Amino acid sequence: MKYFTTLILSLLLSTSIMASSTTKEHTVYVKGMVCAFCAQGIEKSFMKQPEIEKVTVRLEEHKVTLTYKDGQTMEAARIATLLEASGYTVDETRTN
Amino acid sequence: MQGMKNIKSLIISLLCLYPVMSLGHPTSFQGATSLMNESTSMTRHMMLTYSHRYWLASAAHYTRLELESENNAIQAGLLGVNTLLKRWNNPTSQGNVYLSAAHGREFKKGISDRQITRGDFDIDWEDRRFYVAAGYTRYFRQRESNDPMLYKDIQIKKFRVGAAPYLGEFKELNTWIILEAMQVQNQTVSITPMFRFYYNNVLWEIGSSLRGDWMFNFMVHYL
Repeated sequence: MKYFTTLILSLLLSTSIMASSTTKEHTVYVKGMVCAFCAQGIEKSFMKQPEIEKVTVRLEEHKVTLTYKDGQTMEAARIATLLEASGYTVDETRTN
Repeated sequence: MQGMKNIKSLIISLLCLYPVMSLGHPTSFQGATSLMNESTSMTRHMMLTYSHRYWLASAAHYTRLELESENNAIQAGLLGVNTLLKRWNNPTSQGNVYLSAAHGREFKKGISDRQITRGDFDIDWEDRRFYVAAGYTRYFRQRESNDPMLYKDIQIKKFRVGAAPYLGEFKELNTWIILEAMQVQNQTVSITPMFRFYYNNVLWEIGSSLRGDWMFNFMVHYL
């Protein structure tokens, strides 16, 4: 019984960590982000948001990874709105 | 009137503190202040912009053009707006159409104050590896003479193609090799191979035309 309880608790804990790690970062693929100046505008725009800890840009993959502050996250619709306000669009075919 | 002249001189002096030039998108991300300077042995165009939206910017210009006829040379200060008319955001590329207009005064030595209007139409397309751009600029000048050769409108046409020899990442040095063809009025087309570099918030271009005329462009974004 003790082993069974430990197993259940371990499973619950690992699920919680996985959930936490999935909300800590958000990756979006961006249409039109082709140069360093494009990336700079996107980085500035997201870094102004209180939820954001760090913005990582990979130009080669047209990818932006948003790292959130502890316990915070951002709706996908808001991410799309911020990108559109910067002049870019989310690549829906590549972003889940 | 004297006060206005002093302010004008101050603005021009401040702009001239940046002995460089640049060529880039005439609008930038919201809240960005950009300084661009484009210089050749015959022309100089400096532009300070503030982007209210990614598609709309206010712009202050200083421009100088040396032409074959002294009477048609231009030195002027202008204020205007730059607009992004259309952007195509593709998964791996971007295309843009820009329209800009500005109005101001000529103040070339020996020429009385006369009004001048500048219009620009620019298109570009780029991906990570290739770049193509074309631009048309026209200066509409105030005429006070019946002589059609005096103070005539000036037009500048530009066409560029470029390629990146390697794919630089964000916050790394990015390099492009570009070939530019430029024609001022009906003069011979000037062909200029150049290097373009990006690093962080700074872009600069260095080249020399096939006739040996130097070119130096510069652009910086501030927040």
